[in-house]
Amino acid sequence: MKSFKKVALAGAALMPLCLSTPAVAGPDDNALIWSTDREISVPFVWWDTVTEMGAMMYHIYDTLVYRNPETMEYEPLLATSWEWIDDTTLEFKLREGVKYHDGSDFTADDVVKSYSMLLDPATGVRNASFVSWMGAVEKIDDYTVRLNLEKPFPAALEFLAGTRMAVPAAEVWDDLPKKPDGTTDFSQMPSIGTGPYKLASFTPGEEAVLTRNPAYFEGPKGQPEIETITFRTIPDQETRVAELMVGGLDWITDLPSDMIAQLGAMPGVKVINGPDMRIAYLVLDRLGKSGDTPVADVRVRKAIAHAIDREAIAKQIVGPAAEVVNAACYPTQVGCTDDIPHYDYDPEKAKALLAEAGYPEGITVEMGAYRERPHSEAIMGYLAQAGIDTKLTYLQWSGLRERLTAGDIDMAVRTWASSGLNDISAIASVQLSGAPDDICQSPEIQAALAKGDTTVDPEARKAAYKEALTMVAEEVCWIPLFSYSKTYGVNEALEFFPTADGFPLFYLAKWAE
Amino acid sequence: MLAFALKRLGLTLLVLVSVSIITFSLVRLAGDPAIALAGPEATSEEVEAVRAAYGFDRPLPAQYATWLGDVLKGDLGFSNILQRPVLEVVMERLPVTAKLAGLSVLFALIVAIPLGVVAAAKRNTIVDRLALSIAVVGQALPNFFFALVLILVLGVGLRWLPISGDKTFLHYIMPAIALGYFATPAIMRLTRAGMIEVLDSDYIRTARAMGLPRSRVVMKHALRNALIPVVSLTAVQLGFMLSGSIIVESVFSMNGIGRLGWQSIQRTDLEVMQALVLIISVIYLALNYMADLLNGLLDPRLRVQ
Repeated sequence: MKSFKKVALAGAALMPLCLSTPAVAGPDDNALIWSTDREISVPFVWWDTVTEMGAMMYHIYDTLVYRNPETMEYEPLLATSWEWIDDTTLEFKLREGVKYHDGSDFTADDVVKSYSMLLDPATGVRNASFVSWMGAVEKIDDYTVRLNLEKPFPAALEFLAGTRMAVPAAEVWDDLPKKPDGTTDFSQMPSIGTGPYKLASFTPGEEAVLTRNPAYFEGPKGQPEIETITFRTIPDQETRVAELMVGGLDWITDLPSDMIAQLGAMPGVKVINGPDMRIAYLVLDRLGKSGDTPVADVRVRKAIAHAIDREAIAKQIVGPAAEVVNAACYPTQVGCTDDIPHYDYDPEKAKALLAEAGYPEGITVEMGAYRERPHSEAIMGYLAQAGIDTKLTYLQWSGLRERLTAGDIDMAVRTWASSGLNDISAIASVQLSGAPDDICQSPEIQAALAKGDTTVDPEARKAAYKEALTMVAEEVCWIPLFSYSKTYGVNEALEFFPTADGFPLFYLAKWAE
Repeated sequence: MLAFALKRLGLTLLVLVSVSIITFSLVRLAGDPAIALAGPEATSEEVEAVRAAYGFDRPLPAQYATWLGDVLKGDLGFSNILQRPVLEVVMERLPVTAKLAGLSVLFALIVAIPLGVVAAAKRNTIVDRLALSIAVVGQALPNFFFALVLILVLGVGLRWLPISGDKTFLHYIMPAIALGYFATPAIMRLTRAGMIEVLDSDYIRTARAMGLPRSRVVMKHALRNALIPVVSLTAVQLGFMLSGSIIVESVFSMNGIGRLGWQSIQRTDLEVMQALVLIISVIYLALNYMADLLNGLLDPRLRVQ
């Protein structure tokens, strides 16, 4: 028995020597590994719109216009200046001396080729509504291009700063292989950009490795600091947390709320809470399409708005960086204003409004939801205190969307992240302009939004949106609740700046000295 | 024996067809494939365009007939989400799962057979009970939980093993333990029962009476006979490992077909979901069928059922 013990002890002692630990990222080799549960199938956002690919677009490619993530102002990137020739013509002067990763020069031909491919239906770009505003693109000279829009589109700069507007080298489109059905296999497109990082290797669904571009031009993105950035897909949250603890990962996000305190106390790890452009809102059956519903009465809808303590839900349940939202947009978005009627938390007023509407005993309504259950349960709790009993119908998004389209639900908690676009047209004009799942269906609101969407003059545009937002608030068919917040678990030595659109910008990150 | 084999084969095929019909219907009822395919930011028109383009507006039986026809021709379809042929995607991932399942079964056998032998040899003693409880814990622990315990102890605590991925052999150790442990109780109990039966038989008594040492009798003469049913059980367990790997592969971030299945469910990739259920069913049913035949060969009583 004694000898067995000896052998076991020796074995245990030797174990760590036999099993070499895997290479660990971090400050020592100036590398960074980040991970989420999402997979990337094609390394270009036109065919794979996951946020992670979107984030990598900003690293590998550049756009004509840069949206400064701190000031939210538009700055010149691949373009050096731009000018509205008229309401539908936008002209860009391009930056000279910019080199692609393969050494070729960036010129107007690359822009014309990329944007033409983007507009060509055969390219099969996902969510074509993002680019359909562009009419045609025209080369004026080697360093001047002109966009000829079909109709006035004041949010053009915001969209031009977006991930889809990346400008790969024109040659990437040549000689692409065909799929079995005869169409071009764009997933085989080579990755040649001008950005601060190059795509060094890519394994669909698993990994993408970016390496620093030492010849990156001096521009608003600055010079990248970190040498290698690796994205890994790890589906299980606990596994990601464990990897962060042992240094196998340097950056994870969407931490489970029960782990935030625990992780924050871990040595070598810090938790960052940042803003999130996603906002939650209640939509209500204003027109009474679901039958004899109390929410068809505006006083009941106002009662619901007054009954919810949004501040408490935002700070206590959603996260420290979450904020109460009063208008149907994210506060930083161009065209968004808070100068509209507010519904502050006032349960007594809610009860009085219910009584006035003829429901002194309270009401029972059905509420649909599809995302975070605790948020919906908190809303239900506050509503119950004001005499509004809710039956929660928790569905997958496709299921809830069917109910909303059919118009047979009293109200629902919805959320929208504006696809990271900092312009009100990415939310209000999408959600309130009469799509089948919009249960507001107000022609007046739609008209005001349409005016904003097509007015190029900034002040007139803001006024149109303010009018629309005021009507939404008065009709109370869309009750804005709160913005989300994002949590990040990162290596303690990593300097990371969180952005509200949720795209991690590692070209701004660096390891602390 | 031929009649028995044919009857079993017929039943196996029948199960296979039922599985394919049920899967085909269920995956389409679970969510609207057109909405999933169009993506969360798509407009209603885009969703409708996708619905028409991919034929999701056709009646279910018609969609099934087309699919079955293609499968019989060896075409498992084209994943609209991955934009690649399904067979190619599955084949790329199968080696990881096969390796994992093989290692898991190996682990299960290494743990379960000695435990079963010891338990039978020391029947009804504390050793027997201990062996049984070690095995039963394996079945009682949900494997995602056991996997996390392994990660915490071997990965985070001791830092002996890599936590996620499938790049090296070391990456397979924790997943194989997590998956294989679950199979130990069944194998262990069957080994124990078989050993007890064999040890009580006349020829063992004869062998002992001839003065052969006990260890030699147990290991050489008894174990060989007791293991026959274990072989067919192991075949079935191997099939079970293929499907059980869904959770384990996700936890350890291994790119096998288990994780592919989980991903396909999340992104409503109908083509891949269907193909995976079909492939796993085929493997499982084939292993079961072979186990049936083996049992039928070994035990004539089963053939006349």
